[in-house]
Parts: sequence; structure tokens; C-alpha cells
Amino acid sequence: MNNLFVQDVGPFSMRPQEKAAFLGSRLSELLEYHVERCPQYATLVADWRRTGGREADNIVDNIADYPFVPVSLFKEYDLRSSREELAVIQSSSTTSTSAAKVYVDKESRKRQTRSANLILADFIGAERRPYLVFDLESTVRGTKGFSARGAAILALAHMANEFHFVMVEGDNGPEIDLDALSAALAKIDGRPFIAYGFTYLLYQAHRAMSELSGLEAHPDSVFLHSGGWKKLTDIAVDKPAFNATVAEPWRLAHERVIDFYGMVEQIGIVYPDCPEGVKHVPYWADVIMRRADTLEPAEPGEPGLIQLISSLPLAAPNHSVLSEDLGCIVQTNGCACGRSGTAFVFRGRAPRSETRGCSDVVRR
Amino acid sequence: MSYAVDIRHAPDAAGGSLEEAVAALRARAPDSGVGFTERLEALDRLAKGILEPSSVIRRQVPAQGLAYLATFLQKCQLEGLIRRELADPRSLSEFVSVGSRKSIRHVPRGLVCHWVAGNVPLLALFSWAVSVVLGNRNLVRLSSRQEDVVSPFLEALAGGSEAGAGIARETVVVSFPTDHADAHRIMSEAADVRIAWGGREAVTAVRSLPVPWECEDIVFGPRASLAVIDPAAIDPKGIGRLAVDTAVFDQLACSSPQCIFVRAGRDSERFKRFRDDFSRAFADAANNYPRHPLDFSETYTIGLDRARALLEGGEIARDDGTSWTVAVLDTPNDSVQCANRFVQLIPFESFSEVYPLIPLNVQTVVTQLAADDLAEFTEQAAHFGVCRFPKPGEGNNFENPWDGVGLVSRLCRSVLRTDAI
Repeated sequence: MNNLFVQDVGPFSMRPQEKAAFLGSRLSELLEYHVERCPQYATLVADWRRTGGREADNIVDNIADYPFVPVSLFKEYDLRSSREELAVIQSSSTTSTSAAKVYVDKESRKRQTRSANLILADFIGAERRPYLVFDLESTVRGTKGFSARGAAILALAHMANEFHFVMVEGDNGPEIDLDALSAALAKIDGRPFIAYGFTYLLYQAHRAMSELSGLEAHPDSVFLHSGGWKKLTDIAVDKPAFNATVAEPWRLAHERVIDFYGMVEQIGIVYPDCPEGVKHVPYWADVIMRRADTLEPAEPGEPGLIQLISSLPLAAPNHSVLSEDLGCIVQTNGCACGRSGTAFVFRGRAPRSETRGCSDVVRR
Repeated sequence: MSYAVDIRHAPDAAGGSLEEAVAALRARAPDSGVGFTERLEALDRLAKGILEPSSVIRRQVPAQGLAYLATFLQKCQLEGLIRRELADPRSLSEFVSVGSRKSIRHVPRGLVCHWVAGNVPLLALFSWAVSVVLGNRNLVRLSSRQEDVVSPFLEALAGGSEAGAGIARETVVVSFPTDHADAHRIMSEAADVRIAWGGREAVTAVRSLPVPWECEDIVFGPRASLAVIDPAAIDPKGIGRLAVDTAVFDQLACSSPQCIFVRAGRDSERFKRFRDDFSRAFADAANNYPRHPLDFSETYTIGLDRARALLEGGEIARDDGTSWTVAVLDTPNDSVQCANRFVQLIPFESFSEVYPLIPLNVQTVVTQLAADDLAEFTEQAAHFGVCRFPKPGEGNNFENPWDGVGLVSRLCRSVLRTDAI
């Protein structure tokens, strides 16, 4: 379970063959670890072994064959691999009816922080800087649990040497606090900063700020955002329009606005867009696109349901989840940005199925 | 907003608009000159044509369900289903004495308007056929996003015989978008009978259209179906037929069993043998009947539902892909979507355990029970809403009555006469 991060090896520097061996052995250990501790996971793995004719003591030598837990199960069941008191991260549930509940222990939290730091440092540099948070301070309060928004804010906390929350609760939810923003900028005093907000909140705040004049950011400043695009798609805001809305008031290049993909079930693994517009997978994680109809691994260029694999989680079996998101592997090694290994693009949530027959769900 | 209405099939006099088509159908003489027997024979000829390997229709419309439709269109089938409702079918041609100096005659209702669901296009042909046999004129609306599966049948019918050509002239097929409110209203206001097939949203939309008060509504909305089986009363052939009933139409038909209640204790040898035999037969059926390619959401759901069944204390038999799943559970899990060849086996000892688990929207319960048990179970279950109790192998045969509705009596008017002394 140790030696998760290799000294002096960048997150995207490991060669594919080396990574396969490295990750395979960790995932084999992790599978047994969760089987021993989480009875529900043991049930799912037993079915996977029985159906695939896999022996109980086999080593996972093909990551594409690695079992997954459908993410929806984290909304419906209490899946945990530890009896200790654990923190809980809940999905924001802005567009779905129920929230996922993912347990985290101290060790996993440490791994998540280290993982996020290594990945983000590779994109924006390791130096600490002022952190402008486009959210409420209350989002990160509490010790036993966080929302997905809170967890995402804290994932970047170790990049920060000072925090500035610049939104307050308004009549219709969070809204920009111009006094707090002004005070923060005065304190930052022209230094490069890092800013983060959930995609929709960041957009909403910048729409409200569009009339402000005199805003200026150091050109090395960066705006990171994550979270669903559904609300923005509904109002016909695409990525270029979003980037312009956020970057222009600060006189920043649009490339300084970076979208990153992540899931509450895989906190600690963030997938920022590289300058080539694709997402890279660190050596302690993997992604597999699974085909419609068969769930077989999709070929590069072929869209699929995203299976996310991470060697970080110890408190719950969320180390390999099948998401309802669609993605597409665009490179298996060697991006023009210089990062090696698998790169993919995110294609949004899988559309709901059309009604095909005259059968109905059972009504009682 | 205005849209064009696409007239796909119409007699020459129908013109180019929906209003003209409706007027042409309304203007036709009440008695078209094509008698009941000739109508049966024309459809029988159409059925034989469909079944021929060289059939043009086979190339024009989806294969799934075609064999069921061809069987249904046979003269003996149509005669049989009419006899279930009319004591003497001669009343479709003349007044027939019913005693006490009274005679009865059955005449067509008039103009029957059909709303065909995009997801189950062939189904509409079953009710269209009954309507046609009874001498009604028909206006069939296809969704603008669906293939025209009706016109090829009308062309084949017209080419088969003079009577067939006469029948084909009594049907107009149109297509227009779902949100073309005016076209829907024109159809609805012209209807003597409205027939709607499809999902909840589709049938609710048709029911909400303005309509003459005397119009008859026949609504075939979405339904859920089951099977109740005594392993002691079913042989391997029956198990194979039950598996086909479940797998065919990708288990998405209203008559597809979603749960199979099995009369045996979960740990009994009898149950285990049935589970294993059924799983083998289900795997065979899944391989033998082609399935539509699952979309991403359906594919994800298969994986999720398998996990749900396991975490609810169930056991599952399945393939290594997504072709079929048999989940054994103590009680039906309603969050599991029993579609695309995912069936739940529920053990039970007494019928009293099954009655409360019959859903409100039930349609079919495929049964294979000993005679006494069948009598007991069906008598009670009928009061819980079940509309039909076919044997394995008959689950998806379209029958009359359907969804508890007798089509014949709804599609003709009963005229009573006091006879001359």
C-alpha cells in the first residue's frame, strides 16, 4: 500500500509499460485490501471472478479487465472499507436527485492532497500563491464531511499561502461579494494568484463582475474550475465563451482559464486540460473508455463510458468506478505538450435512453 | 408555427392536405362494397405474402414482430378473436336474431384515427387490422422521426386482390411532427374512434386533444408483465418458450415478463434446477434473437442493476458481456430495470405471496401451473388487474381482448332492431 508516489518521477513521465507494471501491482493489492474490508465490494468481486473464470488469487495483469463499481452505487449504499470514524464527501447534487456519499480516512486524505499537488504543480507550478476562492467560506467548514465543492476547494489548498473567499450567500444562492473581492485584491497587490470556482459559480460571479472596471491580474495568475456544464449548456454558453467571460475582465489570456475534470468518487485525481486541450492521466491512475452495448474497452478515438481508476482510496472501494460520463482516448502516448501516457477528452454526461418499447416500470 | 403534413399513402381523391384527406375518408360511402369475408380473405392473403421468404415487406420493415403480425392476420386468427366478442359474426353483414323478436347488426364506427408510437410502430398494425376487418376507414399518423412501416403493407394489400385494393383505399397514412398541434387537433376532432399506442407521454398527449363527446378512445399505454411458474408443471420445452417470451423484443414489450415468480423455496433443489435450466434457455434465446445495440445509458444500467441485485442479497447468472442476466431475489427489486434481457426470479410458496406484488400497471402474467392452481391463481389475480394469462410461448401473441379492452365491440356500433312479426 506504500510507495505510491515515486521520487523524482513526474506524474506524467512514466513510460506506458513501466506504468502498467507499477499500477497493476498496486491495483491487485488494492483489490484484495477492499475485498477483505468491504463486504459489498467482496460480493461484487466474487461475481466478477465467477463470471470471468478468474481465480481468487490471480494478479490483475491487464488493467482493462479491472473490475469497477458503478458510481450510482455510492448514492444508494454505504460502501466503506474501514470501521474507523471517517469523513464523508458528498456530491453537490445540483442536477441529480440524490447525492453520492464517499468515505475518506486520514491516509487517503494525505494521498489525495499529495496527488492533487503533484498534478497541479505539473500544470501551474509548485510555488504557493494567494488563493482566490469563488465560493462561500462555509463550503469548507466542518470536520466530518464536505460537499464536492468543498473537497475541490481544499484539493487546491496546498498550492495556497493565503485564502480569500469572495462570495456570500445571497437571496438566490451564492453571489459575488465585491467588498471581499476588493479587499483580497488589495492584499494580493499584483502578485500572481490562483483562483478556483465551480464552473457555474465562477461564470455567475464573472457575469455579475462584467461592469467592474480596473480589474487586473498578474499574467501568471490562473483560474481553475471544475464541475458540470449542464446549467451553462442550457443557457448556450460554450467553453470559448466561458473562458472569455472569466479571463477578459482580468486582462488575462484565455489559456489561463483551465477546466479540470474530476469526480467526487475520485477526489485527489484532477484532470486539467493541457495546452493541447486534452487531459492526461498520472501514473498512479488510469482511465478506460467502455463501449456502449458490450462494456468492452474502446479503441483510441472511440467514445466510451469513462472508467476511472485510482490507487489512492483506502476508506471505500472507490478506486475503480464506472461513471455515467463519456470520454474518448485521443493519445496513448506522447502529447505535443510533452506529457507521456494516455490522454483523453471529456464528452459530457451520457444522454438518457430514448423510450424504445411499450413496457413500463413497475407501479405499486 | 406551421408545418407541412406529409401524406404518405392516400386514395387518389384525398388531395394533398390533412383536411382534404379527412374529408375524403369521411365522404366515402358507409358501405364500401367490400364484405366481411372478403376482408378476412384479403388480410389472410397479406399474411401469407409476409411469410414468404421472397416477401418485399420483409425487406422494407423491421423483422422483429413480423412473424407475430403475420400469424395475427390469418383468417382463422381474426375470425377467432371476433367470435370472442360477437356471438354470431354474421351480424357484421346482416341483422341476426338474438331472440325475443330482436335482431342485432354490427356496423363500422366510421373514421378510426391511429396514433402510432415511434418506439413500437408495428403494434399499430394489429389494431388497424381489426378496424379494417370491421369495415372502418382509417387515418394513421406516424411520428415524423419514424420509418413508414404501414404503407408497405397497404401496397402489398392493394396488389393482392380487388378487395385488398378496396381496403387500402380506406386508409390514409400521414406523418407530422409531435408538436404540430393543429394537425393533432384536426385528426382528433374528426375521429369516431381514437387509438393511441405508446409511452405514458404519448398516450397522455393524445387523450388531452379536443374530441367529440361520442368518440370512443382505445389507449394502449405502457404496461408491466410477469410470469408465474410451477417448476413441477413445466417441461424443458416450456422453459425454452418462457425464455423466448422474455428475451424477444429485447424484453421491452408491454407483455415481456420482467419478473418470474417460481413456486419453490429458494434453497430447494426444484428451484435451483429451474434457475439453471431457465438461465441456459435464456442465454440461448439471447443468442438466437438479435437485440438492438444498447446505448451508453442502457449499457451502464445493466452493470448497475447487476450490482444492485447482488447487494440486495441476490445471486445472479449472467454472461461476461451484457447479453443476459438472471437475478434471483427474495422479493422484486423495483429499482432494477428489468429490460434488455434482465429478468428477476422470485421464489414463492403460496399464491398469497404473489398477489400483493402484482403491479398496478400489470398487463400479462405468463402462467404454467397445474389445472387447479391455474384456476385458483387466475381467479384472484384477475382482480388485481391482470389482463391476460397466456401459456409460455404465447406471451407476446397479440390477442383480443388486449389490455382488458375488447377491440371488436369498441370498433363497431351495435344496432338493435325489433323484428317484424
